[in-house]
Amino acid sequence: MRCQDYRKYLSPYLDSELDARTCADIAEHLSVCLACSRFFAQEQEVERQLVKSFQKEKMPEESWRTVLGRINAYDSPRPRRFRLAWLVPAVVVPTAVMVVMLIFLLGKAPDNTNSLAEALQDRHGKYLSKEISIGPGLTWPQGFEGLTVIKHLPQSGLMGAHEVRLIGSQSCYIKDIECAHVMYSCCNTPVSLFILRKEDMSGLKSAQRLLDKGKGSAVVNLGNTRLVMKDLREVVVCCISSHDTGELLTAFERL
Amino acid sequence: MKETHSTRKKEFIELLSPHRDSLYRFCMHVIWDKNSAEDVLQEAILHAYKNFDNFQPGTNFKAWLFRFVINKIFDCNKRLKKDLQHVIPCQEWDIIEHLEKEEAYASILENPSVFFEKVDDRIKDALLSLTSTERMVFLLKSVEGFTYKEIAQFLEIPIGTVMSHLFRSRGKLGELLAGYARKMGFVRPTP
Repeated sequence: MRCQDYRKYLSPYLDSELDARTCADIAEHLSVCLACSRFFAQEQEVERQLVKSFQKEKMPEESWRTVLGRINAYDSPRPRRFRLAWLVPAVVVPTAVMVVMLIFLLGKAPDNTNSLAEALQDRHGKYLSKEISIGPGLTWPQGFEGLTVIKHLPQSGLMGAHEVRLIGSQSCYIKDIECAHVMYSCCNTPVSLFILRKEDMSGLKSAQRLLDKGKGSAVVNLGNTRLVMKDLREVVVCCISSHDTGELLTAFERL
Repeated sequence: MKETHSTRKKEFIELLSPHRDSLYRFCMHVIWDKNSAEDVLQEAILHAYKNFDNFQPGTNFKAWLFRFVINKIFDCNKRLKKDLQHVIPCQEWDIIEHLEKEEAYASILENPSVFFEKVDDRIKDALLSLTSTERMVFLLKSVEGFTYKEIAQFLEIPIGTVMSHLFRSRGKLGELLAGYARKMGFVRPTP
């Protein structure tokens, strides 16, 4: 190689980045070529001086203190600051708890079937104890006259093996719902029949669920008496008696 | 827990201390604006401290630190990373040959220490005349002493590109120094 060829490797040679073989070749040439040896040495010195002039600057103490201060500040416990992001869990969590509680309460608490049954049983008991009387004649809550079930109310006669007789009707309120209390005598046993409009029963979720579960029919045992509920599309008929009211209710179902 | 934090901090500062001037100079020479350079340096050191658990003892701490500094510089100057990928083609040998023929440069070679004493602060101006990419590569290699491979990894460019940037930056610096020598009348007497 000529001197010029060796000098092309000046930069990687000064940087000690040449492979061992090339490096040895150059070293060998420098040992015999005074001009190249001098050139390489001078270039090396220029580089050294250049680097030296860029290495003069030192980090000011103030800057170093700032760096240390930031490291210390990062490690020390920081005062809790209010962050907008915290609002999300702070609002969402209690709201979610309240929603769950509301669902639970709405599903459980409001007028369950038992409380409806108790209210009906109470009304039936008052009739039996003569606290209330339902005489001959039919009185309906406003708007009830037009209902199919009222128009085709079973009258006196034999229904299967049962002798049924309509005593009378009266409008009343059961759990704040206006309904018709119709009294029947079935085989000489008093039968209270309550007619409730379905549209008024939105608050009676448990009763509705019970009817849905029984595909429009539900039975609740109340000790000596029994409550049978039938869903007849526009109305729900609740029959309460100690007697078997199957035949009577079948008559309603035919409507 | 508090003791662990304290030991960890102490260890980090002990490792950081010997490199504080290098880091400072590198930021100052690459960014130049003093406030921005200090911000970058502080952010980079704090970021490194936050990630100190990832540092593997026994490996090159200086190189590990410089990664954070370079990444912060890239965050500040998005264009720089892009520019690093591009190398302006040049005939490397032409630059050497041209400099060899340059009388003023030959005078510098004759007596470098005297020349550098005289030019003093103008050396910084020469560095400023390089592009950011050339300056960065030159500082990482010549001043900080990183290998071509390390620089290639820092800057995510091929080793060949590192060499080209480096060669070009040295050539430019040589020409600038020759220019100063001429202006200063620092020319060797004709034999």
